[in-house]
Amino acid sequence: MANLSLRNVHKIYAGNVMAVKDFNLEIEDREFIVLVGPSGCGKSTTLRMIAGLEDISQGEIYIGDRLVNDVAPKDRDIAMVFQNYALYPHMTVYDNMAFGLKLRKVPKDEIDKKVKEAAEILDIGHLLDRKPRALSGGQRQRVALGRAIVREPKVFLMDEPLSNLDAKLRVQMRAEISKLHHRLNTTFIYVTHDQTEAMTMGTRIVVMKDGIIQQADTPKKLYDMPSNMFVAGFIGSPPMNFIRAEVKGENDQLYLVLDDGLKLALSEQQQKLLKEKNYRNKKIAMGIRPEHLHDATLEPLSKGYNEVKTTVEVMEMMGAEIYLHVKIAGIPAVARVSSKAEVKINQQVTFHFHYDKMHLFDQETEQVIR
Amino acid sequence: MVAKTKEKIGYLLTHGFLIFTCLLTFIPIWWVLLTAFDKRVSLVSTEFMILPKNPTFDNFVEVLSHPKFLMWLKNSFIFAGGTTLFALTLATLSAYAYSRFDFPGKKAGLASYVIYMMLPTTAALVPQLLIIKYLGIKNSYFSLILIWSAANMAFAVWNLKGYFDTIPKSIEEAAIIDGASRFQIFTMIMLPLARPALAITAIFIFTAPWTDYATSYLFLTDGSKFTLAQGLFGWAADFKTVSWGVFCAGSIIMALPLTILYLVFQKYIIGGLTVGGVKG
Repeated sequence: MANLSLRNVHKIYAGNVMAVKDFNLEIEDREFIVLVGPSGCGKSTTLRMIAGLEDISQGEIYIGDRLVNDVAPKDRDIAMVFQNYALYPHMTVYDNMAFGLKLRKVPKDEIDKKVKEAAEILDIGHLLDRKPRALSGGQRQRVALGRAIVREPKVFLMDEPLSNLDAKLRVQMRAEISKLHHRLNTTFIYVTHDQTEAMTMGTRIVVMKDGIIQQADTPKKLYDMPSNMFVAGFIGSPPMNFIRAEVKGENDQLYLVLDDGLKLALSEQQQKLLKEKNYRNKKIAMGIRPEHLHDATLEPLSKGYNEVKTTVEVMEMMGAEIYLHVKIAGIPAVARVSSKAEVKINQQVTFHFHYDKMHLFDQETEQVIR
Repeated sequence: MVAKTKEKIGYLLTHGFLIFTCLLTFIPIWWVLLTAFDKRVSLVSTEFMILPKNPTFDNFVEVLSHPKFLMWLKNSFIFAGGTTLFALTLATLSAYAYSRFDFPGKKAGLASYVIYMMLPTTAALVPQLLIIKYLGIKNSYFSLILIWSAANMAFAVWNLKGYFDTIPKSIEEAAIIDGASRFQIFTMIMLPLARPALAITAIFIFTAPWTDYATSYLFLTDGSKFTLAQGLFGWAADFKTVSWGVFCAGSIIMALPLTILYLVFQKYIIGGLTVGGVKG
């Protein structure tokens, strides 16, 4: 168990390629931190710097109170689970799990006890004599987790551990890793490109892009209050719709005008904010999540709701819901409505959405207006 | 129906041809076996035989009790074994370095091996002879071990490097995090994983000194260091003192270790040990 501190961490590769830029993060003891972002965003590099597999070009990493920049990986009290499991193919499951302890000269009976305990937690007790090649993907990943557990590290590092598993197994293992976190009660740092994994597992999520932290927050806050268009578009599935709009209005009353002339009402708070920040007569991006576009036939108009009329272009039946692909003011958008809605392709449809659900972003900086 | 018959005839013809050529290549070997296990003295015969007329083990008894033959056998084992050990140790270490580390001259080093392989063996003979002379190790076991090791390094390094390249880096990284040192990773992870490649490379290295005649003929003047190939050739040239039957028995004994090696390590030639450790 330990807290972690990353201060002004940079990773610069040969040729001045900046993989991670000024990474600052305080990780509390027992947190489940998820680093998420598209490939090449620097999330794995950050994890590997914490592990000690990559040098830190600039900045400091502390595990507990100890500066670990120049500490060898084996002395950092961490364990890591790799995307491709990285089991030792020539060793049995037992030996794979015991290897780290043997190197640390832990007494044999203690190794035996720890391996068997971990095997029981992961339900792989019956596989201890097998070689990795005789295991399924899910079993291999359990062994990789087991190898980390027996070490009883202060920090668990996981580099996309589920991305080689099939969809069903992934969901199952996701829950198991969460359970494991509760059971072991230690700090987890988990890297993934899958926002669903991030949202379901993390106590806090760090969204990265181009080596820079975009936002580090709880899943709920990331979803409800994304700090920029990237985060807003990355978190949530299907992603948030962005529609160009101009802030218009005379006197005190401000509203948004879409490209097709449709007027959208703003809450008093939003109006006040836009006035303060001088957005009158300026173009902004209005973001609205697909689930906040309600089918008008199922939800009558009431105070605070805007209305938009459009035509259904594509329908995707998901079971409990339908994804409707439409255009709002000429811009492709998706609405996520109940499958009770009776809609057909090419049919006119009206959506209601509350102005509180609208996210307002600066068109140029792509930052949320606040 | 017609197509099927045609296919069948084609199948029979190709296989008939293949079996015929196999038999053809096997005839000399069979003839050696016949001569070794038969009492006749001549290598040439007008009689057609499939099995020995007067079967005997006398030739083997004679060859194995011949003091020179046993000396040559011992020498061949020392040369081939020594070369294998020496070249394999060096090649494994350098192949691992070439596979895993970045250092100045890496590309040039690897390329130099290829260039060396492209040179005709004879081109190196004179310089080798001079080096051996200057080192003052002429007629020693080490002199030829050195030459055969050098001759096999290029193949061995490339072959082993190619295999190390296929072992995912993450396995080593997992070991680093588990607390293994570079040396421990090399000995406890990489070497066991490279067993198939090591076995194949070892067999190839072993084969070279074992079957080579020209090198030992050129470099060795001391009869007590002669190899089997060299000694047997001497017998073949001087068939007055030794019968053909004994010569053939000697040849069979010489072929045995390699045959056994190939049979034993067959599974490694097919084997893929890394299967299962990582995904993909």
